[in-house]
Amino acid sequence: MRTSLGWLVVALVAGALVGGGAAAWVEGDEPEDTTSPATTTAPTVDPVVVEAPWVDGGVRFRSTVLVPISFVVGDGTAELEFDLVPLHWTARHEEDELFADELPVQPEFWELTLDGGQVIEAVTTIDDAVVRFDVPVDVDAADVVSVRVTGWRLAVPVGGEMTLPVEEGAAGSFPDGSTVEIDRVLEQSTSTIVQLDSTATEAAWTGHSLATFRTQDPGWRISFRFGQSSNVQLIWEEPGAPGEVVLIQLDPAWRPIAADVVVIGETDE
Amino acid sequence: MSDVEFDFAEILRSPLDPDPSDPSARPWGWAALLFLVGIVIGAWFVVATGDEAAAGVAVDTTAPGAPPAAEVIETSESFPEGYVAIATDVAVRAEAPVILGDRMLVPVTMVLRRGADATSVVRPLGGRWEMRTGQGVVASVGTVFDVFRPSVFSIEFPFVDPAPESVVLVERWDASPATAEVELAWPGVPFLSEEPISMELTEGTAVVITELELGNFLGGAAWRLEGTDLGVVELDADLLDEGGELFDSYASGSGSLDADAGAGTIEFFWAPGFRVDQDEASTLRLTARAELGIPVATEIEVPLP
Repeated sequence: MRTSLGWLVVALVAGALVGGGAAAWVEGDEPEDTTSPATTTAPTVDPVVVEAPWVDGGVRFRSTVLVPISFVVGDGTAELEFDLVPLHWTARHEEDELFADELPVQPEFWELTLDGGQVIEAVTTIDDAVVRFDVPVDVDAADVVSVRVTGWRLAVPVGGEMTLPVEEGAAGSFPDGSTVEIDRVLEQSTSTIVQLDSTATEAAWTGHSLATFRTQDPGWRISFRFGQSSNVQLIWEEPGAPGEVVLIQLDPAWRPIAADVVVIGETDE
Repeated sequence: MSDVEFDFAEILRSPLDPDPSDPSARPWGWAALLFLVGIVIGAWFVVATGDEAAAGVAVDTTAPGAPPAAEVIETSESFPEGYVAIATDVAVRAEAPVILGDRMLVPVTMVLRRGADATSVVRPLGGRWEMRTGQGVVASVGTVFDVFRPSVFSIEFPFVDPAPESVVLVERWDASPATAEVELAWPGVPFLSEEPISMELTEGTAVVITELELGNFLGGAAWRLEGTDLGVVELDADLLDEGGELFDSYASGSGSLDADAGAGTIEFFWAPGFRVDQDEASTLRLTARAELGIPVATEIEVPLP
């Protein structure tokens, strides 16, 4: 098959017409610039292209990418909305929203620096998608030099064990300080129910107020009752419950890591 | 798992694409190329002239000195800086050890290779690690996983002082999926298995449900592997009606994650809409979803900070 020079010229001209038309259509589709003055919203954050499991944008710390979504300054507040994107698998229960976003690396301490050198701090925890800084009322976006994360948390699986005698008042703690105390022991004719009070040391990071654990002996059934006193029940569904129970912690310890990561602004390099 | 590097250009080439060795395909390629060049020229002309027209009224909303995103993800590397590949699509980074009494835990985060499909990359079940110190070699005594965060784990060692500068993965346990299913008559709650239930996973391996109890709201199972000591098992418990249709399912809690224990337990919860009518079902269908471990000898050093 041969292609004449004429066909090549036609292709070039046709391409130019198509390209010019498409560009004109896009240009024409662009809304007029009616945004509020530059002092209220800045800097512009480029759209993020998510290319699972990696992303073309944002800043990385360990296995988490922090992607800035928007940054708004005005009325004494600076708000940065962000998303956390994992570079790894998320929980096996991906279809379950309760566990879908449990990332082991999370931002905690933030610093916003103004061009006068003033540093304003803020803190976020595991459920936050926005960090808010209380800034002077007259501050606008042009006064912001940088926003950085200076402290992170890492979920460290500990698997701490605790052995408790099955008797009222018995108490213990896991390595992270979370506590468990036996409130009541109810002896039934064919079963034993042990009611426990448990408290998570860092509820803001575990996402719940009680310590979660499993029993070493599979004969114990566990029932968690969030938001109630005696918030955990152990049930031994046969006569003759063991005299002690070994609990193995499921929650990780949230270890702080100091690391300075610039989210908005220029690096020191 | 293979360590072969793929030629992505070859993989991405469609079988419908013309054979590049076929000379008859090339002239049309020139036409297509010029067509694309034309698109670019045309678009550039319109955009350039448009920019000139709008230059006088543009409003710059970007604050001086505050450009976004200082550190951009590397686009040319397969794994982020600081991570060491332990498999074709998986890399790890170790953190400073955590001392808990006579235990020393080395936290590790995992990442996937850039572009890898998270749903198709099978996570290694674990492995054996060593710390090499001036006094000799210290073997790991176990691995602690996080039920809700599958990309982080801790390697457990006995306490040593001073802490080593690195850990070495000496055996990786690759995961090989296998499933098995069995149906049992369902007499209603409480259900208590009278004898062990054996389910063949592969030729030579089976999972034996040694205990199974399903109640109104809670349940539990104990399992052990036969034919191998490496693997983890999850269990689905579905109730079927007389016609064989799904009636409802017990929700399975997270099972044991200790891949070298050869046995474990699973908790069940009956939660669907507070129904208490399980007795109307007639069949119990158990589905075991196992990941059997395949030991692979390695010698991969991961530095500690």
